[in-house]
Parts: sequence; structure tokens; C-alpha cells
Amino acid sequence: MKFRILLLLTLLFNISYSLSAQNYTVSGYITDKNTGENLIGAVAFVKNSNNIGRSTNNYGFYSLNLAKGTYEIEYSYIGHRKQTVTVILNSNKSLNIILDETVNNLNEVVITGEKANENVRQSQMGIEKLKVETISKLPVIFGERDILKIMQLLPGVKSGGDGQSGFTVRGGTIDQNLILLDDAPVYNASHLLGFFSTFNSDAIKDISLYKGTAPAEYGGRISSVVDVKMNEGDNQKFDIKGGIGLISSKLSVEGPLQKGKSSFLISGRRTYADLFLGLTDQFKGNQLYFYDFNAKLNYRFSDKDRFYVSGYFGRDVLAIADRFGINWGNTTATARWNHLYNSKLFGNTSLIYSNYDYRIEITDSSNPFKILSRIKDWNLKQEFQYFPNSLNNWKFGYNVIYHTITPGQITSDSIQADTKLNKTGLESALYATNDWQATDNLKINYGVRLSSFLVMGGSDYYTLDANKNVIDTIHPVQPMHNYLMLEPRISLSYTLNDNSSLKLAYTRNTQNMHLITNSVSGSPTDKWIMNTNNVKPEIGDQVSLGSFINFNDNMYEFSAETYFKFMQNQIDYKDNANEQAQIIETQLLYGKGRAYGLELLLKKNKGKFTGWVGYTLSRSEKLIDGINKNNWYPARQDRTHDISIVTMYDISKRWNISAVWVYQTGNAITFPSGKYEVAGQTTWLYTERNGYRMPAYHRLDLGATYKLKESKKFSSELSFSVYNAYGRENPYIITFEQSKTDPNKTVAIQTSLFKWVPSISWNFKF
Amino acid sequence: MKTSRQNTIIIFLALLLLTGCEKEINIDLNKSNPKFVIEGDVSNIAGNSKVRISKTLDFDENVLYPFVSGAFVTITDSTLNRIDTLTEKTIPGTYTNPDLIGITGHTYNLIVKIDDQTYSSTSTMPIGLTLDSIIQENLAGTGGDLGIPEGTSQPGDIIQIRPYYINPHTADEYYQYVVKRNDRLLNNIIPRKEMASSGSSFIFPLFIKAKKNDVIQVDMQFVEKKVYDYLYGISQNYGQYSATPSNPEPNISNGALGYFKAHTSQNKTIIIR
Repeated sequence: MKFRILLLLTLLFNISYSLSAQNYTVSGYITDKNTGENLIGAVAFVKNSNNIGRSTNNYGFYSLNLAKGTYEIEYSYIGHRKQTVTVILNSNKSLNIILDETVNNLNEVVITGEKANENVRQSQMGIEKLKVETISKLPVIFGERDILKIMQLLPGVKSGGDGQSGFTVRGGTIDQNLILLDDAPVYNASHLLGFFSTFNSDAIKDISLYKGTAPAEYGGRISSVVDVKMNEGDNQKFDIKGGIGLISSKLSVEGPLQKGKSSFLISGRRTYADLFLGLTDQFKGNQLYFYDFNAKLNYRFSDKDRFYVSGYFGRDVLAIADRFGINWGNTTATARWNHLYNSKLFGNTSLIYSNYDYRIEITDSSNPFKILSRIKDWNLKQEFQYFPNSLNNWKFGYNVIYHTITPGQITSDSIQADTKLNKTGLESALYATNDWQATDNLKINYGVRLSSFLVMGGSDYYTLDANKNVIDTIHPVQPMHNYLMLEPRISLSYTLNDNSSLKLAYTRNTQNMHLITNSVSGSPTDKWIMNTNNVKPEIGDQVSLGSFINFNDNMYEFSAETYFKFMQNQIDYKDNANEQAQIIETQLLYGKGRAYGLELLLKKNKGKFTGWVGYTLSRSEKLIDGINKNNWYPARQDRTHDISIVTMYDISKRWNISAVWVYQTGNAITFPSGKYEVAGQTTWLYTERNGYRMPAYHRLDLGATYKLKESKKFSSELSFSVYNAYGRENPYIITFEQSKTDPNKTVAIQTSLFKWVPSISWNFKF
Repeated sequence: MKTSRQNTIIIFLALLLLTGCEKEINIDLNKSNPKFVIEGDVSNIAGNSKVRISKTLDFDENVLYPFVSGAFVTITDSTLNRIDTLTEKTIPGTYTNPDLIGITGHTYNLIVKIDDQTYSSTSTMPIGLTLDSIIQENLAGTGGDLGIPEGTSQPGDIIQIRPYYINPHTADEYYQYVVKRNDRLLNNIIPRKEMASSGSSFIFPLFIKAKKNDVIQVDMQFVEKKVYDYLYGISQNYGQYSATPSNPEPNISNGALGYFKAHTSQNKTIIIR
């Protein structure tokens, strides 16, 4: 432990490289020629040097600090023509670069972003990046190329299956994923019970996934970070994009407010599959649909100041003919100001609002009432990015979030809202992190995050005895408890040669917000809770090791990663828990968790035939006093094998086809091992927690896209797809009951959802 | 009022609305070692006290729970220091003694000896509340929710019955309904509780499938909290409502399943209109 701290301090105060005398900076923004949008992750590479290069940050800004001299700098970005600029560096220079798109040549489809060997070179491991423009060949499911769904086809990420909304990363639970949309946390990233994600691909620029190895600027969840960036809007010309399908339709408009200076984007979607159901008598009057909007405005005051406002609003609506209605959704809003203090210091201030709620309305009773459950955040983020020289890239800043949770507030004509039930908490963090090119072959990303969580007063807190009975209730006015945590993180990448590298990482993450759910993948009505005197912050420590190899001129990428994760203060329901309990803490137990696994990925990036094969071997277990006779037991999300095969093939200039196959071991689950009779009723005899498995899940999806027309002015395509093409009846729920045909027997009943779902959509752009 | 079970059901309905299919499947469930199941009752009504002993079965065996004969069963009233031995009479596996009539407020000790093993338990009979009446509520024009017009209750209709009692309660009360329709026991364990803080003189209604002229007999059995907790666990277990199904904690020693409950009965009968 002492050694670790010492090492960290040495690294933190390493500034030896910034001392060389005559250094100047060349910096600026890299933008797209056609749309004027900033390009994230574009690369500025010094050609006549050894490995000096830098990619642009999330706002398209780069900064290179070099000794006085003449340099050839090559600027590149996926799907764009490279540009080489000769720079005579005898003073600090501002150099904004505009890159032009390459004409879409079918033989040069690249799935990954970044430079061809970026996966090998970057210091981070356990990271996956997907850019919307690079996934255009992937199958369209339900009329959408859903980027969050595609992410779930990568190793280490496990989707929940049919009708399940969440996903899990490296043995974690669904609430241990931090999902950010323009920095705003999204508490429920799914629509329509998981068939769509909240992210409308037409409004999304790119998505980065960190599998528990995120640098210190991210925090608050122990499994993963999914960082989604919205499109900025074209500041050169107006574009209209859209799609019309059997299940849903969408439309996006973007364009300049003042050409080259400011732009807007507005995008909306709506599903209407339930309209077809309305045609049958049985389902008349029932509703099940969602809609959502994305909007973004951005304005460049000057080369030094940029301002953005972005927002998301989405709702799912479910109603059973005049009796019952439930609707749920997220609202997020982000206002952000980028300021360039000087060529080495970039600042970013954001004020963020985020809200998730669900509302239930019971209308057919003699006393109609409504229930509101909500989680609401106000969030201030300040970040500085400092480029002292071309070998270091510092980020430091702070983040303060004020959380308010409203748990099931009931109102009716006779009942007033009781705000005393609300719980509030203040989560803050201070961090510093550096991406350091230590030697030609060694890159180190290190950092530390100091986080605190203040459990605020103003609501009830409970003292519980050993049997989880409430023995005392207190209602403090002042904040009642503060949790302080230090999270060190380090990630090393050693390049063996141009095409291969070894990476090693250690990260600690903590988590203050917890989702209490009874399933692997959650439902819209699951409860979010925050730390209390009883619920302590979750702590996750992960060590991972990986090897990355590219071969055949970067046509193929191969990676193997292993990880071991140790988790503290993990939460699970006690035996026979009552989810309806008024005080949910009386139903919870706390203990340890461990997860480990191996992830293999082979990608083919070029040629007519592209795609990838991913395989995950993993285990996730818990040890909690009072569960499973105090022995280790499999976590609900534990699965041994996960395979995904994604293939795309270009038949001709117009036609391309794709197929996705997934196979997953069933999740761990508790089934009865026997039965007995109590008070004349059959009762199930259970022997252990999560000792059984659901049947394996597998599915094949097929897709085909036909380009009707493609030109600069107007392009459109028709997409056909079949979900679950061979009609596998994957289990949704398994229940046990007395047989209806033979009352002497007890049987297991499996409920499945979709046998196969075809869809057609027409997408256009002009 | 709001239940997450209800939510789960609604979401489930929504999924069915999307399509869905149910089928019987084979699951390879483990064998389990047979365990004894003891159900002990001490009632304040003559002839209702009994102890039933059976065994567990594997999941795929036929539902003919094996009874256990030849056990030695005693129940001691520790307040009076009086011991009653219960014996197997007409029904195998069921042990009775007509002299055993429970008294409210008294504590009872159960001892069951099977082969060399002894199983024991203790239960105190609560005083309970005095039931005043039960009323059929969901008749049209009476403010009921379902609005079945008087005299038209059909087979399969769900009838709402609400019990009223005489004095508002001052302590937390735990009870179990045993409901008979036309003298036939409806196979339902309906555990309920009433918190002292709620303070009204009526309680949450019962929902029963019945038709016109059916005779419904409601027995309200007041029990201790630990017995209620067990029965609640059993009712959750069968419906598989809990997120984490497991065997509820029995109040009997030595690894036997089941319960020992001293209870006070309150009986009322109505005829469905």
C-alpha cells in the first residue's frame, strides 16, 4: 500500500519533461469541411519525429508542444482525407484544420475510428469506441442501427436478452454503468422495455465505453462508463435526415444559424407499433409507444470561446384501456462553455440537469390516484486540460452533483404530496489525471479522484437491528454523514512494435447511487436509492491485463484482455425479500463481490467482408452474510460464455447484407429443488441462492440494405431485417406451478417473447 | 397501495401485448433430501387443535405428500403447566387431542419426537380483535369498485368482502384468513397485518371468486408476528413473488419445515347476493 502511494506521488509530480528551454505550441481545432463539426479523436501527428502525436479532445481541440524547428504535421481522421501541413515553429501558433470527407468507397469500409493502429497505441485499455458514421453497414433492427445495442455485441458487455433493458459490464450490475449523454447521467437508457436505446443514432456523434478502467475525470459507478456525445449540427448547410418504418419513424434537421459560426440540431422519433394492436378487439384502447427528442445549439463567439446547449427528452407510455397508465422517461440538459485560456490550457465549464421519473395513474378505481418516483440531479462540472508539452496531457477539475430522490409519492384528490419522503445527497469530486508518453514505447495514464458523498438531512433515516427490524427513526436537519473516498488509477501501455502492445491497468471506482432491482436487467419501476447510514458506497478495484495485435497492414485487429475485480459494500436482497416494503433497507444485505474473466476479440476492418468475433469467459460471485449459508454464490448476472459474431458483406455498390449471431449461457437463478405442503397448499423447497441457470440464449438477426440513390444532394436506402431469424424461443421468465392438465404434477412453465420480428424501413438524407 | 408486484404484472402484460408464448419445459432440478414438515395448531375453538406431520418431495414427484405416522407429540400449556399428548386417530399423520382447547394469552410448547430426533417450538395465543361483521362490498350502487349489480353475481366473478371489527385496535395485529366457500376450504393462505398507527375499524378487503347464493365463511385467525412472517413467506413462495425466493424461516427447531401457531379464531358467514 505504501509503495503504491509512493509510486503515485512520484508520477503525479513528474514534470521533468516540461523543462526543456525553447518550446512552442501549435494548437487549434480540427473540423469537418462539409458540416463544420468538431472532430473528436482526430489525430495530429508529427511526421519527422518519433511517435509524437496527439488526438483531439471531446471538443475537437489539439495542442502540440515542440522544440523550435520545422515540422511536417499530418492531420487525419477516419473517413477523411489526410492533410499534411509544414509548420515553421518559431512562436506559438494557432492552426485550425479542416478535413474533407473521402468519397465513400465501398472497398474501404472501416469499422473502428481513430488511426488504424490506435487500439494498439493508446494508453487506455478496456475501452471501445464506436462512431455512428462507421457503423453504417451493421444490421438495422426494428428500423434502427442502435449504437448502444451494437456496443452490447462487444466482449465484456452483456445484454439482458429479449424484453430486458439494461446491460452489464465485466460482472457488474446494470446500475454500475455510468451512462452520460453530453455529460448528463441517463438513469434509464432504454425504451420500450429494452428494444430500443434512448440514443437516436441520427443525433449521436460517437460513443466511448470504458470497462471499469476509465481515467479519473469519470467517476460514480464501479463497472463502466458509457460516454455518448451528441452531434453538434452542421454549420455550413441545412441537412434533413429521416426514416420511415413499420415500427417507428424519425426525422432530424440540422443547419447553420450563422454560417460557419453557429448551428443547431433537432431530432425526434416516435414508435407506433401499438397502433396495429389497436386493430384487434382484444387490445383495443391499449397503448405502448415511446417518443424522444434531441436538440443541440452551438455558438462560436470567437476562436477562444464556444458555447453549447444540448438536451434530451423522452417518454415511454403504456396504458391498459382506461384503467391504468404508466409513463417513464429521462430529461437531460447541458449548458457548456469552452474557453481557450492560451495554447496550452483548455477549460470547460458545464451546468447539467438530469431527471428520470416514472408516473403511474390508476384511473378505474373509485379513488383514482397517481404515483410519482423520480431521481433528479443538478450537476456542475469544471474541467481544465493542460498540455505542458507534447508528452503530457493533464486534465484536472471538480464536479458537484446535488441528487434528489422522490420515492413513490402518492397523490390524489384527497392526498397531498408528501415531500418529507424525498432524500437528498451531495456528491462531489476533485480529480487530476495525466496521459504521459514516458518513453517511446511506454505510455502511462495515471490519476487520482477524491470523492465525497454527503448524506443530507431533512428526511427519515433508520437504525436497524441484526434482523433488519427498524428500532429507531431519526429525522436529522443537518447533513448526517459524509463518506470520503480516494480513487487511484493507473494504466500502462507498452508498445512492442508498430502493431502490438501490452497493457496493464489498476483502477478504483466508487459508487453512491444504487438501483434496487429484482432482475438482471431491470424494469422502469426499479428503485434508485442513495447512500444512507446503512447503505455504504460501493467500492470496486479492478486489475486488468491486455495484449493488442494488428496484422496484415491493420486489416485485422486482435485483442485479449483479462481482468479481476474485487467489490465491497455490494447490495443484495435478503432471502424472501419483500420488494414492496415501505423501508427498502429492511430487505437488504451487504457484502463482497468478485468477478474475473477473459475477453477475446478478432476484428476484420477492411475489404468487402468485414465484422468481428467476440468471446467472453467470465464469472461473477457474491459473498454476503445471511445469504446462501454465508457461502460464495453466483451473482444474478453471472454467465459463463458469451459469443457474438457480427458479419457484413458488400454484394455490390447497392446491396449489402449483414448477420449477427449471439450465444449466451443462461443467467444464474434460484429454482426450487423440491416441494412440500403447508396449510393445504404446495410450497417450493429451495436449497441455494442462484444455484440454477436459465436455458441458454441464442439468436440470429439478418439484415439487408439497398441503396436507392446516392448523391451529395439526396440519398436514400431501404433496410430489411429479421430479428431472431430462426425463431428460437428464448426464455423470458420461468415459473413453477401445479399442472393444469394433471393436478398431481408440478411443472415448469417458460414464457418467451418474440419468435421472429421482421421490419422494413426507408431512410433518407438530403 | 402501490405494489411492485403489480408493476411487474403490468409490464409483463405489456410484453404479452407485444406477443409472447408460454410452454411447459423440462428443467433438470436437483433431488433434495426429504425433510419433515410439521404444522401445529392450537385453537381456542374445541376440536380445531391439531398437529400434522408430512415430508417433502422432489419437484417431479406426484403431489401425494407422504404423511409421518408413529410420532410422539405433546403440547404443554406453560401458563397452566398442563401437558396434553396428541395421538393419531382417523387421519394418518394428523395428531389430535379433543381436550386441548387454547386460551388467549397463554403460551404453548410443542414437542414432536420422530425416531431419535426431537423438534420443538413455542407460540403464544394473541388476544386479537372482535369481528363485528363482514360485508359484501362490490354491489353496484354501494360505492364498490367493480359494480356488479345486486343478485347477478356469476361464477368466476370476483367478490369483494370487507370485515369490520368492534373496537379500533391499539396494538399491531397479525392475522391469517381461512376462507371456505360452500364448506370447501379455498386453498389460500392470506396473511395480513394491521398496524396500530392505522387506527380504523375496518380493514383491507378480501377478494374471492364466488357467485350468487354461495356461502362464504371467513375465519380470522390472530397469530404472533413470527407466525405471520412465516405465513407471509409461504404466500410469497408459492406465487414466486419474491426477488429472492427461499424457504421462510420456520419457528420449529432442528431443521424441520412448517410452523407452530397458537391462534384465536373469529368466524363469520355471509351469503353472496
